[in-house]
Amino acid sequence: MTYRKKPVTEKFLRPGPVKPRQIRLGNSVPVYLIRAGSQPVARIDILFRAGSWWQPKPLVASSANAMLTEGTIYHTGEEIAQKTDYFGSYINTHIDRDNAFVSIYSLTKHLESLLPLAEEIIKVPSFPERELETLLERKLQSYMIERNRVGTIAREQFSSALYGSDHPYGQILQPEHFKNVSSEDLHAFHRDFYKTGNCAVFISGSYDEDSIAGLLDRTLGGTEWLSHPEAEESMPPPFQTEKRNLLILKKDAVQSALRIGRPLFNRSHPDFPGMMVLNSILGGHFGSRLMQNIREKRGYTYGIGSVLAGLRHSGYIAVISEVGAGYRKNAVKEIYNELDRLRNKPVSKKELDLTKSLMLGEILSSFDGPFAWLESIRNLVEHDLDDGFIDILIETITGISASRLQDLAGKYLLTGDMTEVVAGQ
Amino acid sequence: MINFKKKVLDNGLTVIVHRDISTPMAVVSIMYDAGSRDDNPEKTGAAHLLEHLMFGGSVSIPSYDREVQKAGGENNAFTNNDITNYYVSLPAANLETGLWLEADRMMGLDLSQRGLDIQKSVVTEEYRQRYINQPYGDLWMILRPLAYKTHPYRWPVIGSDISHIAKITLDDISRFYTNYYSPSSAILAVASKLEEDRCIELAEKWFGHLKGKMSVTRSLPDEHPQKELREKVVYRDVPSDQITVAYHMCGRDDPEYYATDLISDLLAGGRSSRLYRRLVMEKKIFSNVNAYITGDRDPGLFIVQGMVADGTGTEQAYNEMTAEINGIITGPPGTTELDKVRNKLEAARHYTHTGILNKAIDLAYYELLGNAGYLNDEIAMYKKVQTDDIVQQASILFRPENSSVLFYRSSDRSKT
Repeated sequence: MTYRKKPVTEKFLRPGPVKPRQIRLGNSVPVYLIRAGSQPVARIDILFRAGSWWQPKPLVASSANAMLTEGTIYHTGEEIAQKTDYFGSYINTHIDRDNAFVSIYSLTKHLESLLPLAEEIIKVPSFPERELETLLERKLQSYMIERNRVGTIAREQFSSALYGSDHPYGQILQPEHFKNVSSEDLHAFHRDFYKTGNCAVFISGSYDEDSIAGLLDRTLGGTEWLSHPEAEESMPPPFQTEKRNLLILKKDAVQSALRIGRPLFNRSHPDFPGMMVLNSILGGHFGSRLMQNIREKRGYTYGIGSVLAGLRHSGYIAVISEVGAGYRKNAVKEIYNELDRLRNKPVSKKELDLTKSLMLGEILSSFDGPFAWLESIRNLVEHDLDDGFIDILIETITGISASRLQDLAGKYLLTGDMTEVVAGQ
Repeated sequence: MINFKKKVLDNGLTVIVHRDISTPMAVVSIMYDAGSRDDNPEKTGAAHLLEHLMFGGSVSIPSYDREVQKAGGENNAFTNNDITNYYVSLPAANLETGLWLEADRMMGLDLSQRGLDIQKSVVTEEYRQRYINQPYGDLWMILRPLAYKTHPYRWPVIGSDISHIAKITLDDISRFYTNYYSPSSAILAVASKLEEDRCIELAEKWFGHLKGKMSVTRSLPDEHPQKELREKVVYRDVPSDQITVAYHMCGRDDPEYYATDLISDLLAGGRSSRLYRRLVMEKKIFSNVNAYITGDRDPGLFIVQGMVADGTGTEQAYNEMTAEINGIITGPPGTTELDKVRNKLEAARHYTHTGILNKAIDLAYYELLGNAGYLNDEIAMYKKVQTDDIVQQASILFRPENSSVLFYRSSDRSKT
């Protein structure tokens, strides 16, 4: 048998150019064009600055978004569903705290038929009462299921502790909120926030650029839905972080959900890229310190990790896990031990190099395929960034030192600054 | 059309290569013809537990994960009733690292008592997280033994009980590994921008020297035809009542599979589907409905499921649900409705195949079914299905005595 040498590993690989072509429609709405992939499909994402951050009261932003496909002044919800299903296409709606989205997945050849429908959905939805009632009932029912989950309880309480229960990033839904949304609320929200000035369009897949540009201009390029000149960004109240240790008891729970973390900053902050590296070491991947210690060494949990979340107006770092109820105290202790280690001892060269390779690989794969590429570009725009951020990120990852990481840990991962939420036992 | 090249190595390993020049990444995927149906009925969960242990390092490479990360890659695995699949996605320049790692752990896994003990604890927590600590989490724990009496599909992949997982020994795992993890029981799929022949050469280099083994003959008990309707009611601390109906259906290789699959789409595929329009939007009897097939290789289950809306009795909801299901027979779909579900199916395949990972896994799976080329030909099978076939299959499926019904009833305290 011949001896096979371990293959040489190429390090620090970078993606090729990722910048999409950018054009503007007649009404100045920006369009990002990505052409990639082997299949005859396209995906179009239409972004609006219309997330829950902007809503006057709970559930308005998410209901307005979900109700877009439930009827327009020309078509019923059923007709819209029949038509999109017949083409094998999807018009999906989705919302997060900052933004709202309409996503179209289609065989490229059907875009000609679908975009006029998307145009209607965006410009002239009718928000019919009966469908709204059904939607709210369904939302309430899944909410009632969700709030039985320890993971959900911990997530909500954690956000509330971080940002304050009156703040859109920290608000916790209550059953009575579901009775307090009207069709008129949705019309008013739509009039203010589904407008050209709040909008960006992303398209990716296999298509002909000129004919798509023309089609988009004919359907979404008009001036009849321009933003009101007087519209202003209304600012919610400031964050009210209450550092807290919370235990929400759920007696029958066989596992306890944990969230331990603190508020940070959004992606534009100069320390954000460095914190991404630190987070990766702590709990950002399968081989991370938290996974190795708390799952692989001790078997306390099926999964543990940490996230560095970048919201548009803030951000936070959080350790997240569900652990066997009897392991809770030890697991919390080990989480703090891992924070201590990051502050007190520089990361070894071996571990740092490994993290660098891993993170560069993640960047490369975030541009793999048309849909992933679209999401990566969209993600930048969502956070008021451009592809320059990718360059900064790559420079940070390749250049960062162990002492810089230790400084960051000393600054941002102090045990005394952590909010700790446990749901379960 | 997903292009591919195939070669069977001397040791029995089947290699499938797909080339996609538009991606900077490469995928190495290994599918083993072994799943939870191959578990010992007294100690279920071994196939899945072994999947966990496959990440514990080998005799010559102590940390699998670290090597993947060094190469800028990501990896994962899944086990189902029939197969276990491992995959790693990494920058194309490091494709060989992926092959090296997979070849290494196919033959030289380092099984230790300590590793086993820890992974048993991890899997126990997985069991608690997914199946106990979730509303409706124990659905499949109850439904499987209700629908199956003899076939191994009667237990869930993770194992029928935590006590089963506790009983599994190092010997059991080692035997499973020896029996099922060998070149002749595996399909290697490689997808990247590299030329197909180059990939086959590399597969030969890293896997060609591994010793082939006699494959074990699989002999599983058939499920006897069900003769009467089975019903079970459970009371749980859940916010809403839920109804699940499971009908026995054909296996993956049977010609009836295509009509059966289309019936599930007619019933609940998308917002224009029959159950969604009638029961959720019009009558508001359910807040949510779903219909799907398990798609197992041996005869599987056709599932219809609904979350009962507040204010509706479960009896009434069940009657409305079965009436609408039987509507497929009494009011069969015309060409437009049939075209719709076929178009959806075709488009959905294209969406799935925008990434190389799904292409690699699907090619391997169709090869396991007999020929990777089916992946491209199968759409034609769906196109052949006519209204008559739909009615005929629905009449066989939707007999009450062919069904098992599981009711979740909300116990009183959750309503307050």
